[in-house]
Amino acid sequence: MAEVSSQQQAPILAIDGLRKAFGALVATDDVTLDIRAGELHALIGPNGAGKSTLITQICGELKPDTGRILFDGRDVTRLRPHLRSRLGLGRTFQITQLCPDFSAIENVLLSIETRGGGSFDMVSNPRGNAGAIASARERLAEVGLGDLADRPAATLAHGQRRQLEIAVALAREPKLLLLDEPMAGLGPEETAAMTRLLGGLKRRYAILLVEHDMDAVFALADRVSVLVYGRVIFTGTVAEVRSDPAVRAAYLGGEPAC
Amino acid sequence: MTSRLRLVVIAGGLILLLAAPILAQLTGSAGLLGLANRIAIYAIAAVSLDLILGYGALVSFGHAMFFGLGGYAVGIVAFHTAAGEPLFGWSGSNAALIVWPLALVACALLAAIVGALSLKTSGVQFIMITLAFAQMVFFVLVSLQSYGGDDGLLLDRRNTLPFIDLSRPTTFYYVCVAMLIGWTAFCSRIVNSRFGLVLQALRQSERRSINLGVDPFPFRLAAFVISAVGTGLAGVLWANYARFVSPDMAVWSKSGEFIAIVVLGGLGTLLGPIAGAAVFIALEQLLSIWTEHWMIVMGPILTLVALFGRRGLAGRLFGERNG
Amino acid sequence: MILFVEQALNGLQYGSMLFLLASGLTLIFGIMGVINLTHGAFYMVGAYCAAFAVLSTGSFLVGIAAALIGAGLYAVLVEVAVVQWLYRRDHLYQVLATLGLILFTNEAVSMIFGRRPPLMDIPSFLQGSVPLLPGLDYPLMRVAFIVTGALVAIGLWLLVNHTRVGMLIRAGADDREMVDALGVDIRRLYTLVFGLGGALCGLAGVMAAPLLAIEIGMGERVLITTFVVIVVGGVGSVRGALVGALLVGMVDSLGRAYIPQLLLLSLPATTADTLGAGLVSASIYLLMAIVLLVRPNGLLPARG
Repeated sequence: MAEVSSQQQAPILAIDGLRKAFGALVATDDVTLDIRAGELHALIGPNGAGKSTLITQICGELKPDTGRILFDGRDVTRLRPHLRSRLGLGRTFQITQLCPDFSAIENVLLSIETRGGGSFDMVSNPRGNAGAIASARERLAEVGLGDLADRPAATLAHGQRRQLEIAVALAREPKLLLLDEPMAGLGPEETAAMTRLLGGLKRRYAILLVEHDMDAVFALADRVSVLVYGRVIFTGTVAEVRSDPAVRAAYLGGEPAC
Repeated sequence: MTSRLRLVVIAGGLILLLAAPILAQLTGSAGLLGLANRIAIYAIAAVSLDLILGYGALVSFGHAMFFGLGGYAVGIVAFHTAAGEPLFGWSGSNAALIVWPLALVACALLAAIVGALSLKTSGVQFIMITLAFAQMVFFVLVSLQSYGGDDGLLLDRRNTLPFIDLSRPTTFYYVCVAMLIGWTAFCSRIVNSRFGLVLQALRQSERRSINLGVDPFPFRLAAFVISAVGTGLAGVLWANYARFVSPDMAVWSKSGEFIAIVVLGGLGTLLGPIAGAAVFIALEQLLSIWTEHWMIVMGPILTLVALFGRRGLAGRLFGERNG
Repeated sequence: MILFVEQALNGLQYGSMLFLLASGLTLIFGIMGVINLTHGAFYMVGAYCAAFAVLSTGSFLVGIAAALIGAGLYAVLVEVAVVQWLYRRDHLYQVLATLGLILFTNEAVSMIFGRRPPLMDIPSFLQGSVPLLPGLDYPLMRVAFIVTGALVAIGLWLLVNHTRVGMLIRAGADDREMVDALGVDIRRLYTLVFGLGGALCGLAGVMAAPLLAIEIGMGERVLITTFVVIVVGGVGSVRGALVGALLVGMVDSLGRAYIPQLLLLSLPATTADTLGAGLVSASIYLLMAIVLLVRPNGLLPARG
């Protein structure tokens, strides 16, 4: 359960004994881990280890069989996904989920507009809200998309869409950022840019980073958890993870998956 | 560039709409005014349907039930008023200012119930359940023997407005056009509002919207009810225009017609469906003059529109989606 | 009691007809993802072809053949000309495109066969009644219908579960690319399924022709009910179509028989009549609404 030390606060996210099986396949096997405020906690593991399943359970799109999920001290295990988001859970998707017909800034504006779940105001045009627009532009600038604010999201390049997803997530001032493989499909320059971007976010937000790119993970992570066949086989600092024999055998032995 | 073209087309359309009675007089064709009137009424229904079909991506195959309910509300009240028989203790009224809001409230209530139940489903189930509700309304209307049943109900006269004589065709036509303009402006406001932003987001990516904390149900229900009220308004105006209502107003192929008009005109453009109504009704008129088997042409036209008309007339012209 | 059995049998017979229509429709929707409104038109085409053939040759068996071939061929034509472009499109466009086809078919049939509805008699070898219970003589034609439905159900079960084609059908529903990789032309498979669905509609048409009226627009009436059946039963599932068809058939038949009487017990005559007529027609939609609210995917969905 949550460990409260004099230096650290209660964890933002605490997963306790989570289990999810699809028939005979146990995708999540008694997973216990926690994310502390301000830390960047990476989740690594081979393909098929169950990382996506774990993420979808944290977000509420999938209900676990047993176990608990506590977000900011609150039991959200049975809470519907849209309500978890309103509590401060921000997420980017592995396959980007943006509104393709909206421009980049409209996507960010949407994020700001829906902080309380969306408004039934049928009169005022949100695009005329100077404060929100300014805030949205700041977010876009922060992720490096300042020039592309008015381009439809569908026309953005892959890497730019990933940046936009982060801007959208940040716009709601989340307590926890769930980043699902943000480096996937990025070239070396884009990866470096994304790593810098994420580095700049550290300390300001608690981040759960699911990634395959080991360079990025080792550069960014405060702690790393290793997921293999649905189980967390190790949690520790980067140095500890690199040197643990079980982890090396299971995952880091050969070339890291990219 | 496209905004300029847009303004030109809008202005052109408005001029045509407003000039129709004059054109009718000049050409000596009374049928032309009737045609324009029908177009204006169907356009109101089409714009309303576009709200949920184009902006909300909800394929309602039962919207004709609101068209029928709006019409019958007017018809039934007119029947009781003319016959002097009280309806639930109320002696009735011919005043549009009383009857029309009543009809619209009825449509809103029906939509709230139908929407609340149907929106729990999605995809083909949603299409089928809206169709089912429309069928129920249709059969109820057919079974109302005292209101004409299958044969329909005639209205003695149109409802009355203070200072405006609705019994004169030209006056009534302009009232319909005013309603069309007003309602379209209202829908346009909604679509560009904070509410509209969420509704459109739900269409483009429901998953992302939920992830951002949106509960889809109340937004879709609100859009559904508003679109139903608009379609009901068209029904109200139709009842007054034709001075006749029949269960065919709620038949399922009528819903199909409305869908065809919206797709033809351009989903998610609000103005497109108005053009769609014009083309569709004019085409129907022309074809039926030409041959009694006009359906054999109309049918394939609908099919072709569906196969190739991804963006409809307005889409091709304006190239954008927002209203 | 006798009345109840008779009404139940009527429900079974109606359910049989619905099953013939629904099984094809559910396969088409489940495998190809297409909402095919033209299904009702195939039924009508089958009935008209059969009536025409029977009037010309006097043989019911020729009529059956005409119905199967006529409806099946028309279905294949529709698939190749229109439906094959609809597989990846939104339901909206499928609905609209097939709606246009219905209008076209109705008009074409009335142009070819004329507006006066043809009459088809019950064939001589199916005339008369069968004593099923003491006091209950049930029409042989209707029994034949029920038997036909049962045979088709068994046949389809064998086809889908015990033949190579059936395996391909089931695989094609799950994974189109895999079937392609197996060297099977998925296009031909889809056309085959569509044609089979059409032929089944034709069979329903020829069996129903002596019992119901043959007329333009007969397809639409039965189409909506067929959709209710597959939504209730669960789209994509032939078992679901069977359960749905029987359930809808029973509810409709028993509803027609008993609702007016039940209402007369508690309401004044005029109200009961009005309400009764509406309720009777609405009964199956109420059934569908209830089922959907409890089980949004139908009673026996294909793959949960």
